[in-house]
Amino acid sequence: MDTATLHARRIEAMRNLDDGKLPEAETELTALISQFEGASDPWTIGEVASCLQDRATVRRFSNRWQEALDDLSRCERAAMRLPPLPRRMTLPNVHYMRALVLGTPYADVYNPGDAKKALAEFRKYPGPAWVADSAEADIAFNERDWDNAAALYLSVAGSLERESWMQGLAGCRLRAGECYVELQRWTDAERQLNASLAFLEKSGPPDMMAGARLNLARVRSARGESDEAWDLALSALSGIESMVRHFRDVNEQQRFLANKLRFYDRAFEIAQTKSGAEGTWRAWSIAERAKGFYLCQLVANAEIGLFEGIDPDQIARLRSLESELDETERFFSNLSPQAKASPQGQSADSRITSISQQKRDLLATLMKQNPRWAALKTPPPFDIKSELKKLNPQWAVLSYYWVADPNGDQVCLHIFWTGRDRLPHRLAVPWTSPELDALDNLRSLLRGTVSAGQSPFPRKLASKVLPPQLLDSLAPDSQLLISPHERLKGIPLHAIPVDDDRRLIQIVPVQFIPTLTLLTLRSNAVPSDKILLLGCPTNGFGDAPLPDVETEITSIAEIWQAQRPGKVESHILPPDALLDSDNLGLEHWSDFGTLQIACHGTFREGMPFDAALRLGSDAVRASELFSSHLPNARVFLSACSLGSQEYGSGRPTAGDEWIGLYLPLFYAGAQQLLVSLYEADSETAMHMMVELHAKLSRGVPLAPALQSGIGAAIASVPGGRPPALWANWYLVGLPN
Amino acid sequence: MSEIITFKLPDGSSVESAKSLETGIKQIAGVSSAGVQQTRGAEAIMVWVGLAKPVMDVVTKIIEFIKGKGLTGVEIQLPNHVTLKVDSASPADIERLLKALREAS
Repeated sequence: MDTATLHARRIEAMRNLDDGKLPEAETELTALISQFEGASDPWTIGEVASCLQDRATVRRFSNRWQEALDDLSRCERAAMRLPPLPRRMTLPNVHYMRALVLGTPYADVYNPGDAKKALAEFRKYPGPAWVADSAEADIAFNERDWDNAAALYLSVAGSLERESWMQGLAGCRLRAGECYVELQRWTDAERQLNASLAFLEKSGPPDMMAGARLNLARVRSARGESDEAWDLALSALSGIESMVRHFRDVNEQQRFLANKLRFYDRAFEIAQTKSGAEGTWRAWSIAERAKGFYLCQLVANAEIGLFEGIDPDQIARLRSLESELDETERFFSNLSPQAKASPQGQSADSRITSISQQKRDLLATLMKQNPRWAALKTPPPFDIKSELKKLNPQWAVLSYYWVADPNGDQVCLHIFWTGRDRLPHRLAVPWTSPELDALDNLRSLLRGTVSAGQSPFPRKLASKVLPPQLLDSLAPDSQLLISPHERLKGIPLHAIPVDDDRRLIQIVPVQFIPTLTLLTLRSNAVPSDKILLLGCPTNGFGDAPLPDVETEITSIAEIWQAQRPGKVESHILPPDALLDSDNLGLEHWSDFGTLQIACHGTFREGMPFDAALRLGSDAVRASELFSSHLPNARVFLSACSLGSQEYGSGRPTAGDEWIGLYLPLFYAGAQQLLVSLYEADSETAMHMMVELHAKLSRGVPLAPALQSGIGAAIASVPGGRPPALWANWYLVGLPN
Repeated sequence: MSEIITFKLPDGSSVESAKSLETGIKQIAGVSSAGVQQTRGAEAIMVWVGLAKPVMDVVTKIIEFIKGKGLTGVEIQLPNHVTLKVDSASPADIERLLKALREAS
């Protein structure tokens, strides 16, 4: 490839950026950099430096700040190999970009001092002053110095207009408009935003256009034009969501979303300006759209296989890593506690982490390379009113949405609910820092082995999440569908104390749903009436034997055989069982509408897609379930911790995704999952599951069946079983 | 509602030995309920005990009962990760533990 072609391909790659296709832009630039980075002729080196600089831009927009800085350092090194003139043309850009990256307040490399130093370096080079001024305007903007920022942006805008750089002009006007919105100078804001939008609607880029529309919506909203504001806000959100869909790997999407969630909060504010029920519906619909975005995207594309059209060598590599991981885990698990702490044990432990990371990288590559994976179909539009009307009236629906002010000083929990009449209700509950700390502390306590005496939900916080009006509105046959958010996701809300003796699930059946937008993706297909029961009391991983497992599986088998003779397949697996050899592999699971799996389960922090069911000598992992097919199935995982999610630093992830077994199982087609949030007590599981299946076999719906199961587990101990031993059971999915 | 304390048995303990311990502890006056906790993940086996009132006398009796069984390496666990080794528990330690239990409830 000659330098001219290289240049043309770089420009082409950056057109993808303008179109909002960041992953595509990065892939192309990476290919060019890999191919040409070792070149020695100055023209090619110059182009490679430009590629690195452009990729830094793409990574900056994707919130991958350190990688952007690394690219700039590589660009700087490449520039030092250039002759003096082109070097002096490249280096100022590096300093300028560095100032932008380091000066972004939500970046994980944020360092305003270093940003100003980089800007000072930049100013040493000759060039138009407006470039440095625009960076200073950004710093003022990020420091919320609105007057100063607006003046600087308008000054820069004047210079850009004289130079006929219309996109830059539109960007400055957009920022100036946003400053005026913050200053509540509505007329000035509208003038700047309209001028900006006139250009952006013709030429993009889509994220700036969405920003202009959203700020214009805020102006309309402030003027009481709530319907016009709402239309603009919806249009802005659609623009952002269409960009989010370009990310086929969940981790990349999460990073991209990190600073986009304010879009939802702004739209939420705008929705609330409409009075009455309509305003509540609007706000509630935004709350649901902000949750489980990736999950909905996956489910909408569930008929597209992850491995469709993928290089067979890569699939073989993934399978090989899975086998290697199983083998290393078996070796590690069979070591004595002393040997686990020895250098040999530590080495095996590190090896597990390393193989898991290789698997995760490969899986991300497969997702990105498959052009249709999770990106072909857009989930249907979400009309919350109509979706809730379609639900059986027995379902009361409760939803949460956290909103923090930009400084994080005040956090408010918005609670929405509707009962049999389907009228919407709303309550905003402010939370203090100690209350939030108590909730975050609870999250960390409810992981791994949980002491029987642990309270699954603090009594003092109960009234902050359960409005008494909601409890009063429940009828004897009500069931409660809960859509949690962020801090409340994965918390056993069904175990909230409602009085001195009872927890929520003891007065009403409870089911969770990641987001109500999933209701648009409900399948009408009839599930298979066949039942698969797999139990493994003693596995090949050296885990302690689980005598209750055999009782559980044989009891459930008897229950179903009586109701559906010939439709039940039941297996107790020995320690050396291999699922594929025994024709019990994942392909076989697709024949069943109900799956009950009782065994040891593992969830290692930082390895959510390697969470595993230990069956015989096999570990069935979350990542493998992406390629399984479980149409409309109900899946009961009577094992430990498989309802855990990845939380990073203990707080939920940016896009409020359900990272763990939920993503692959819902993608596989499962409609409801019963999982354990932390380590499950074996005896409780046995009592609960047997009663649950007894009720299901007699046609009782799932949520009431779980309520009965938990009731039976509590009653099986004289004096009652402590809540911590049953509160781990978490029913998630679409209401049936 | 009773307060719960948990006794974590040493590594390698069997469910049967835990059940035997549970049966004995249930006979102690002041114990309202008890059970064995064996998870489907970790290898630990525990016996949980419900106390009608978290008082010194009852906890001391349970500890003496465990020691009388010849069991060593048992650890008392409370919510919020408060722990106490049964083998070396002094009356002052038990008093602190009860205080923590009352505060946690």
